[in-house]
Amino acid sequence: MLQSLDWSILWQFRAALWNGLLTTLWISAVGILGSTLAGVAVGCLAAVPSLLLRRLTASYTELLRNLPVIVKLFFLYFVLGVPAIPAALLTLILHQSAYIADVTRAGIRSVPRGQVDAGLSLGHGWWQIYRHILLPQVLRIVIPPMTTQYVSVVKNSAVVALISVEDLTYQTQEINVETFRGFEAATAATVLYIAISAVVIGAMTRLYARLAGP
Amino acid sequence: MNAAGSQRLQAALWWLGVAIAVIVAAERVRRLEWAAVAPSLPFLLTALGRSWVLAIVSIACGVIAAFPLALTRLYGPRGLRQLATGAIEAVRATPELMVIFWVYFTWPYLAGNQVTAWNAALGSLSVIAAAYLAEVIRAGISSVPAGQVEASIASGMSGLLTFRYIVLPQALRNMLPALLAQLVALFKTTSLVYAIGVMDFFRAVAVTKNAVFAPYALYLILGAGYFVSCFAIGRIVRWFDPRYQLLE
Amino acid sequence: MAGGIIEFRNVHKWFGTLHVLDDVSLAVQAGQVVVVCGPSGSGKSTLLRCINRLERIDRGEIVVDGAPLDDQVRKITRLRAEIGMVFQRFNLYPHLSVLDNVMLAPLKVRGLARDKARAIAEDLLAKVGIPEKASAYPAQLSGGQQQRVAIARALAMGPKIMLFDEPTSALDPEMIQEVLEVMVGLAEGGMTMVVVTHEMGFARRVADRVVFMDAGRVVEEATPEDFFTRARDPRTRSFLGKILSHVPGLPDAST
Repeated sequence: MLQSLDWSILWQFRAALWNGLLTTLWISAVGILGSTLAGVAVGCLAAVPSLLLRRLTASYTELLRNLPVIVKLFFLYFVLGVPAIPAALLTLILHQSAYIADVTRAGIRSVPRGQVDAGLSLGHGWWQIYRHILLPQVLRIVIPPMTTQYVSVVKNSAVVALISVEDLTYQTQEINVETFRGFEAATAATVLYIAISAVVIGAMTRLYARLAGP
Repeated sequence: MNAAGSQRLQAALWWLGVAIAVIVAAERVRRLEWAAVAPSLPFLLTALGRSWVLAIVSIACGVIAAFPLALTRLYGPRGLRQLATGAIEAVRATPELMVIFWVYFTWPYLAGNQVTAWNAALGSLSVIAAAYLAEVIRAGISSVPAGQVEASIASGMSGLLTFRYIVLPQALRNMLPALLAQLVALFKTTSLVYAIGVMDFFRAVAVTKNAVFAPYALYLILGAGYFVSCFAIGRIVRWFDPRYQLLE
Repeated sequence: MAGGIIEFRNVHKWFGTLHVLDDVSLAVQAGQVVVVCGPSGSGKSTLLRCINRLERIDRGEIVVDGAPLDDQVRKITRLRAEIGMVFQRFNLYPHLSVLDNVMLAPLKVRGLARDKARAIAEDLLAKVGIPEKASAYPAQLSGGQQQRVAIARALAMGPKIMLFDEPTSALDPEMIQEVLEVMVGLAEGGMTMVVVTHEMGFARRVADRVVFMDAGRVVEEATPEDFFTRARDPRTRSFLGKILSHVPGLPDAST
């Protein structure tokens, strides 16, 4: 069967694939940025010793984590009528922010209590303790689990093809419909997805090495 | 106000909020289009069952495939080890939706015969499960301290006996929470087989939504179906691991 | 005993059902060095942590520097800036260099200019005897060195009071002396100090008073001389018997 493959199809559809790649890239980038901001904020609130905040943030993460991405996406797009691109971005951000909140909370929890005591005893307020004492230490701890989360954003972004956002996956399907060359298109898309993940992992590994310090 | 008092006040506030939310929600939910949806309920529940079957069968297949993969990655000869690592990492870096498309659209190319959507769904979910579980198993085995192996070897046990009686039992216990967490993840992933036409829970709701206009009632059922299923498995995970924090 | 810089008035505290501070009244005058000792779980660390409000109290009153401690965050934060604290496990910030550890609070809490904070930090590191480690990170230092940095960090805020929570009990025996010497220097310089420790040699040498606690209560309060030779309470004598019979240089078994 392999001899019947026609790789020239990729060249023929290079514009479509390129546009798909760009769409996947920017949607993933916004998704990563947004879910990091939202997730770290929620995670910080979850680590504050307050029962109310703990319950509220736990509800947020439990609800979002236990619903499939596609359920959130379709609800926003088909039921609430949010336009495709905002619905796609919002879905990615909401979904991953729940996981990132848990990663952040666990990271903050893993810093010994004595660090907070030291900060308090020197007269730092909570904001300064977070900003100068906890977060720099947490940042180092959470980079490995955060890498997994970022790769997840890239992968979950494929779902937006189902509401006709013209990303890499969408273009693959288009090529398949037009030419029945699904195999070649899927191979190309998969290689590109793996490449994006590799770049994310590589960047995070370098960041980790730089922060690892003494 | 002392610490205990503040906690009590916050707990009271929380339950007050929950109560208000429940009352408001109940009032609004009551006014949804339940009469229109009611005839479809058996169909929807059957589909939810189908999603469960998909998740459980493919996690079972995944475990079976994951053990040789993990063992090859850990102990296999060069070459083979790299191959296993490459396969695991490639699947883990590929969107689940792409894996499903792969199996469904490209299998006919390679095998020459058609594949049903159901089999493609089972196949692709098993592949996904195998890749993730291989890592779970590897982590479980690696988590057994080297001192355990040393103690066993020193007492005259062979490598195989050591693995069977010392490493594996401890590893299985360590990996159980992560294994169940993968079941949650996989259950959510089953919703994606919607894209190749399998009548899972998600597609059943989507199809019903086209037939009867009751979007909020249907999406409430959809959300509840997934939430309750995943939440339940998540709670089981906590039984096994009180320190359990992360699902994926 | 009224008018002390630190005053406990009938203070109670519970951890759940455990009565960790049971009707504690105590006064520390400015410039005094008070050593607090007692078996583990006697509430001595909790007593210390109440002074800068790392722990809340459930009943009674604590007055520090003329003002009762209350729940106002702003006031507490301002008060903490005036009270230095040294912990058993050092609690240096692992992600900051030694110099940055000492400079952080002067910069962020006091709002000092960088060069001024730096001058203070370098001066203090010289004072505790490790100027050459300024650019090292905590993980690269020995326990004794870390604890001396922690003392410098607390001193950098120019505190009126210094609290020490078992500052030498996490140290290897050969490092205890270098930390105690820094503390003796501070005491001789007139610093008000409350020190939770089992280093009875230190107590004998610089303490104005020794307080013995057991089961959340202040059992005995005396000058070192009276404390070591004429302890009234049998619990004190039993404790002293155990702690003074240990071989010098070996870690204290009762901590």
